[in-house]
Amino acid sequence: MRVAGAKKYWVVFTVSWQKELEYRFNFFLARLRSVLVMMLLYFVWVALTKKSGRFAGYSQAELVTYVFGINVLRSVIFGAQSRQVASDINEGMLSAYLTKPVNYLVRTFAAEFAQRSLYAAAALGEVLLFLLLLRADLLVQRDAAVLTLFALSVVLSATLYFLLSYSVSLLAFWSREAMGPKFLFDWVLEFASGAYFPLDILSPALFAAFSALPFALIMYLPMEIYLGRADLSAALRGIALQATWVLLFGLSALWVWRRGLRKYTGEGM
Amino acid sequence: MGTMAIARKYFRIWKQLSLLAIGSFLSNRIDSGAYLAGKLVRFGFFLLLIVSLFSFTDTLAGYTKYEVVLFFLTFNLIDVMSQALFRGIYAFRFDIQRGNFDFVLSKPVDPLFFCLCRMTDILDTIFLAPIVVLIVYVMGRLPVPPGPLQLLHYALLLLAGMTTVLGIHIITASITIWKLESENAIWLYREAMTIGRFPPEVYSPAVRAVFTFVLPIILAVAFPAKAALRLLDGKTTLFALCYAAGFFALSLFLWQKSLKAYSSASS
Amino acid sequence: MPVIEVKHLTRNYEYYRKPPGLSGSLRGLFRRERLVAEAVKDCSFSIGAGELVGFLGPNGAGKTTTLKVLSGILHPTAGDVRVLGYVPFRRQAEFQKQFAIVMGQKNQLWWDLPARESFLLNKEIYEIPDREFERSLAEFAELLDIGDILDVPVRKLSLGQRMKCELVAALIHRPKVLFLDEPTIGLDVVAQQSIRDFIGRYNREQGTTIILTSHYMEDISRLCRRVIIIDQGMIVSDGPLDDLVRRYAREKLLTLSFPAGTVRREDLGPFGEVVTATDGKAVLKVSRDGVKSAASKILSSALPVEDILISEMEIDEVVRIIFGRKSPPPL
Repeated sequence: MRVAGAKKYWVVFTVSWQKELEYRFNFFLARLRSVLVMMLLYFVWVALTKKSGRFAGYSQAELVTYVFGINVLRSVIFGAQSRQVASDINEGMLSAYLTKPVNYLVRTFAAEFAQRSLYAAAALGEVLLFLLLLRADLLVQRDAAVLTLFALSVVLSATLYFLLSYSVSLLAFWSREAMGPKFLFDWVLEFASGAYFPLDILSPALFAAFSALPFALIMYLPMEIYLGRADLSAALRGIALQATWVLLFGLSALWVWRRGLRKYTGEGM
Repeated sequence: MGTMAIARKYFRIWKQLSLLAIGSFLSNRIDSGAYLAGKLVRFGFFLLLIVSLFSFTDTLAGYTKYEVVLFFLTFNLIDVMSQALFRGIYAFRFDIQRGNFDFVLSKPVDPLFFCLCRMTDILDTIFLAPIVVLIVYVMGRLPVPPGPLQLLHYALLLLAGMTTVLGIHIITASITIWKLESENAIWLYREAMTIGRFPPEVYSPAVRAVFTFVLPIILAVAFPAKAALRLLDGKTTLFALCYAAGFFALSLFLWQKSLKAYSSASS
Repeated sequence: MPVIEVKHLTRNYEYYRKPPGLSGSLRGLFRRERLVAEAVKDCSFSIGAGELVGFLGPNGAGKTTTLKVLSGILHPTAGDVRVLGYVPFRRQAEFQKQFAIVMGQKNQLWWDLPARESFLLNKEIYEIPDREFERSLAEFAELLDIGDILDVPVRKLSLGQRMKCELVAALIHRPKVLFLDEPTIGLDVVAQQSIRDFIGRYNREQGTTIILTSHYMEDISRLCRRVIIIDQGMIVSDGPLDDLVRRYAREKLLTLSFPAGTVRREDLGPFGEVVTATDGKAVLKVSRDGVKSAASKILSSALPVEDILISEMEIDEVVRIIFGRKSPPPL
């Protein structure tokens, strides 16, 4: 029974892969976006570290690793399924799932997971290609304990991001207009999570403010752990915080989902 | 019909389209408001990044703080204006899929004009005010503030920049027609445009060459700023103007071609 | 001189085929098989001023493609097409101001806004003077009974109301030629009826030349005297509706009335194919040539028949015969 139950989500997984390849342009576009941001930031950091080899307490290798690492993390953590969630609700497509023995949250997660694995593979390829092209120095972390903590924090980040964006998309239950808020959310997240720059280059006051938000746990924390800039206690504290937020947002996603279903009208266009 | 009469007709159509777009945006208040706020967040964060960088350094790629900010603001000026005026292209693929484009083709109106201006977003121009104010402020803070001649030079290259960006929009619309099954090509430009946020000297010569000659984003957004900073000589100016004109002509040619392809390839 | 003249029109289009499954998708990433289909094959017809002609055919028969070619949206692959003396695909403004196309499954109205706003846009595009615009709008609004919904956002309208507004948007510049592609699709019976009445009346009063495609036989049989039948891109038949029936229906219907309980189904078998047999009434299908003799045989038989009626087959069924996919006769 358990195996049979899991199998349908495996089907979701493979179908999502096919869909991704069918809409190859979207895939390409998402990769292009990531690569361009990577390139932009790489050149900015290299220009800034050219003279002294350091900038704002980071070595050139650390900053370059941050940029390249973010490119991979971005594809592992930032997913696009929640857009689908909003449109499923607004266009009434959700009805089709509600009538079937499928857990919508798990289904969405399976679809997300499929997309992420494909994107992550592409992102790794891009990083390797750019490393060769630019002959950039990269910091390779070899400490097994640090790598374990890093992996743990990435898994928690991905889950946290998924639950966050899923909750935001569920706003579609209350308003036809969920795309605008999602756009706003995405851009706040891009910066506040540290996907554009390490947050500690900001002034101490701003850095403290951003650190207090859960967003900083999504990109900034795993990267700092990987670079070895977060010591053991800081890393553990960060991971504990991540776990707490995952729990909180998990509960809130369920709660919002239940409330939303009561509002759901199934109206389509 | 005389040229004046045509101009009057098209102005009236443009006005009505803009009214429709405003009505449409206002009827989706949450979406429009959130998009506007999202853009503001993006703008603010980038500005914050630049300012933060300069608390650790005096120059970036040879430019001082206010010079880098001027590049960034000029990028935003062109980006916002093109987003506001040529927004219709973003809906172009949708229009083709839904058959709206067929209606457009059956009407006595230039389809390119209609598709470009279909969603003229006057509300987006709210952004223009703070950007222009900031540009004036930043220009005043430059070591050598631009004189009337530089301002004229700046305006001329802004015009060339807008023409180039318009050309890019038209080309992407043409590609959308050719590759109907693919997503709207305008998003490629949208993503690539991010290159224009920083002074071109940041990038390697190869990257700079690609985004000056092939996809002329640097030409469109960085050249005006350079003109204001007295860093653009006459020869380069002439080249930019000719390139913009040629690029625009090419885009019109491609559009005609693709229009023909549309009416002979689809069903 | 005919208003619409089509000679040997052929129209091809390309499409892709994706092999099934994940491996197919992977291959599709790099290479897609290109195929060419003929949507319209060597079609010729001409339509005179004021005619209201029905286009009939199954899905994908080439009806919409033909209308799009006539509208100048698509170039013909081969053949010569003229509408009002113009070559449509040149898309001259003088031509475009004289026709309109309505597509039942697509809309030109702005989704978020009241229909009136979209009409105003068309006013500018077609350069309609203010007075004329107001007059036409008032007239159509009254005929279609939509005066009270012109200021309601289109997305709040019912499908029928939306279709009526689509019609107004298309007619606001008073075109001489009108192409209606499935204008009643998906509508309820009342809305269908009211749009049908409007089209008929508009054609009669304005003398507008109209081509109408529809899936509903009711639309065609009520409105069109002449019907062009298209199947797989080719014209199968072109002529008055009555001719069609005579030509294709090799059988007629015999309707018999008798006192309830006096006639059994088996009793009627020898005279023809029994379509229905209920209490007191039966319908027989009899070949055209044999219908008279069958009727007289029934009357002279011992069956207590009270009344007998000879009629043509239903147009629906005739069309099914033409398209060669005869579904089971109605019960």
